[in-house]
Amino acid sequence: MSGSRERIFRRIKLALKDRPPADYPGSFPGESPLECGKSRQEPNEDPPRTEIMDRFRGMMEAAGAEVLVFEGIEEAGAWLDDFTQGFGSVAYGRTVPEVLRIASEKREPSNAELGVSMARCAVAETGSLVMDARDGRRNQLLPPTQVVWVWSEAIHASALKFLRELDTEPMPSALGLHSGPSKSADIGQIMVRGIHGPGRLIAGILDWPQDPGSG
Amino acid sequence: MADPTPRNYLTESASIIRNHPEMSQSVQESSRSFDQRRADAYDQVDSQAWRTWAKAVKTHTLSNLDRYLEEAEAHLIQNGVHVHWAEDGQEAFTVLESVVAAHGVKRAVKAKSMLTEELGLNRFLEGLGVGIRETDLGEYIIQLLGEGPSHIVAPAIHRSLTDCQALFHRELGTPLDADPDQLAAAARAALREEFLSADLGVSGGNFLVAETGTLALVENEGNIRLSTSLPRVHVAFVGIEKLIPRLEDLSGFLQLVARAATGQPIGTFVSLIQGPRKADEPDGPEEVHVVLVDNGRSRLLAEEAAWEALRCIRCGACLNVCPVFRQTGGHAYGWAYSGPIGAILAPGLLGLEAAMPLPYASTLCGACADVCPVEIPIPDLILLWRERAVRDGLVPRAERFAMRVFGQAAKRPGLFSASGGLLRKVPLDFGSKALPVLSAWTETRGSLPRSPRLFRDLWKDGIK
Repeated sequence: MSGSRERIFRRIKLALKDRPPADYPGSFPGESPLECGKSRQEPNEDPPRTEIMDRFRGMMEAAGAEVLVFEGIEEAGAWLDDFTQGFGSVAYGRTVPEVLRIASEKREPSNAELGVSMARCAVAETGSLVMDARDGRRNQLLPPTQVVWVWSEAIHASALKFLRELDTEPMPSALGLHSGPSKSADIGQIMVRGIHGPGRLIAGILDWPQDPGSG
Repeated sequence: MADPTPRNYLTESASIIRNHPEMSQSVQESSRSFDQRRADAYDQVDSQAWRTWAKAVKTHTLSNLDRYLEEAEAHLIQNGVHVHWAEDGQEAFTVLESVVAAHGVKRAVKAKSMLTEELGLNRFLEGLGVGIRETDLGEYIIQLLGEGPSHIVAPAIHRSLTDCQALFHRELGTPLDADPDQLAAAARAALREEFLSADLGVSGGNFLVAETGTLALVENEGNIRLSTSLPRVHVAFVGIEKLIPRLEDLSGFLQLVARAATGQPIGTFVSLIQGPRKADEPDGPEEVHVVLVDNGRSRLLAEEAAWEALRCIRCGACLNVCPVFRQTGGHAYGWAYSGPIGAILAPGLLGLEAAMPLPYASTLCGACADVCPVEIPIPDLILLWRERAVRDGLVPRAERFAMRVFGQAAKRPGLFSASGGLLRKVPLDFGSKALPVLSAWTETRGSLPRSPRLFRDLWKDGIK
C-alpha cells in the first residue's frame, strides 16, 4: 500500500514541520547496582569476573531459576548423566557440544520431557540467558524442563555491553533472552510456573577456558 | 474487542461498582500489588535518571519519526521482512487477508497486543473463517469469557480465582476446586495443541529498532516466543510510535518497561526478532511481515502538547496507581486503552467527540505522572482535552452553565461565601422529579447528611 505509506509520511512531516528536533540524550545512563559487592564501575570497565558470575546467579535465582557452576567437562557431563536419569526423553539444541549430550532416548522437542540447549551468551545485570535461533527455538521452548549451558566467559556484565557487542555481529533470525522459568499470575493474581515455556530452568555455567573446538 | 463505547463510561462504571463489587475488589487488590512492586523496583535503581533518559529518547525519536521510520523500513527489508503500511484498521486487515489467502491459513495463534485489540483484529480473522486463539493466559481467559482486556498488562485483572475455576471447569473439564497449578496445566495442554497446529502467529511489538530493524517483544509466559517461532508465518502489527533509534537503547527500555509494569528487572522472555528463519537454523517462520500502523497516530503527533501521549510504552503503571481506574478496571472505559493513558490516548486516536467523557475519568491527583516511565504529563494533557471539550461544546449544557455560574461566584469572595451558606439551606431530599440530574442518586439513596458547620469555618479552626 504505497499510497498509504506516502500519506502517512506526509502527515508526519506536516506534524513536525514547525517542531524543532529534540536531541538524542546518549546512552542509557544506568546499570543497576551489582547485588554482590555493590561496586560501581566506570562505564567501560567490567567488574571482576567473580562479581559478574555472582550477579548472574543472584538475578537468575531470584527469578526462580537454578544455577550450577561446573569447573570441568567431566563434572558437567557426570551431572547431566545423573540428572537425565529422572527424565524419559531428552531433546538437544543444535549447538550443544557433543561432549555435553548424554546418550539417553532422544526425542523431537514437542515430545521431550527435558530440553538441553546452548546459550549464545548471558547478561548478569538482568540474569538473562541469550538463546540463539541457530540452536533451535522449539527445543528452547517446548520441553517442560530446560537445561541451558553457558560459558562463564560469555556472561556480559550489563545489557548495554551485550547489545553493543551484538550490534557488531551478524544476527540470527531471532534471539530470546530467557530470565527465569515461564510464569503467569493471570489466574486470580496467583503466580504459577510453566504456563507455556519451561517451568523449570537450570543454567549450567561452564567455568573453564573455552576450547574453540568444543563449542 | 467491540466498537469503542467510551460514551457509556459513567453508566458502565456505576454498574460495575454497584452490581459487581467482586470485580472492583479484584482490580483494587491486584493494581495495588502491581504498584507496590513497581515502587520497590524503582527504588532499587536511579529511576528518575532512567525515566528522564527514556523520555528524552522517545521525544527525540518522535521529533524525527519520518527519518527513523525510513531507516527501520530499510533494515527490515534488508533482513528479509515484508513491510506493509496501514493508515487504519481496514488497511491492516487487508494486509492480513492477503497473508491468510496466500498461505491458506486455517488456524492462528495470537500473542497479547494492545494494537490488535485497538483494531478489533480477532473479529476480522474469525470473519475470514480463521480460528484465532489468544495464547497469553489472561487473554485466553477473557477470550473464553467473550470479554475485552481490563488492563494493558493484566487483561483478566478483574477476574478472581473462583471465576477462573468455574470457567475452566466449563471449558476444559477441570474440577471446580482445581488449584491454580492444575488450571494452568489444563490451559498449557489446550494451548500447546494450538501452537503446534497453527499456520499463522500474530503479535504486536513493544519496540522497533531503527538502526537494525529488530522487533523487540516482552512477556513472562513464553507464548510470544512460541507464537513467533512455531507457525510458518509471523505477522507483527506495530504502531508507528514504537520506534527507538538504536539497538543499545533496548538496554534501558527493556529494564524500565518491566520495572514499571510488574516490578521485575526484565520480562522473563524477550524476543529480538530479526527476520525469517535462516538456512542454518532448524526452525522458525518462513515469512515475517511487519505492518506499520498509523490509525490516528500521525494526527495525534500534530496536536500541540497532546502528542506527548505517543511516548507511552504500554506498561500500565498509570492504571495501577489511579484511584479512578481502581474502582472499576478497564471495561468501563469502553476501549482497548483504559485508565489515565486511555483518557489521553482516546481523544487523540478516536477523536475527542468519540472519546467523551474519558478525559473526565480522573481526579487529577497526579499519581499517574509520578510513576510514568517516560514522564508523560498525563494530568496536564487531561486538562488540555477538557479545555478543548468545553471549547468544542462537547460537555453537557447544564454542566457548562453550572461551571459558568461557579466561575462567576469564585471570582467574588463575598458572593462565594454567601452562596455556600445559601446552598446549605437547600433541601437535598426532594426527589428525582425536582432535580432530574440527581435521579440516579436519589432512586436508591437517601439524602446527604449535612456537616453541622461550613468547611470554611472548620478549616479556620485548624481542622486539616
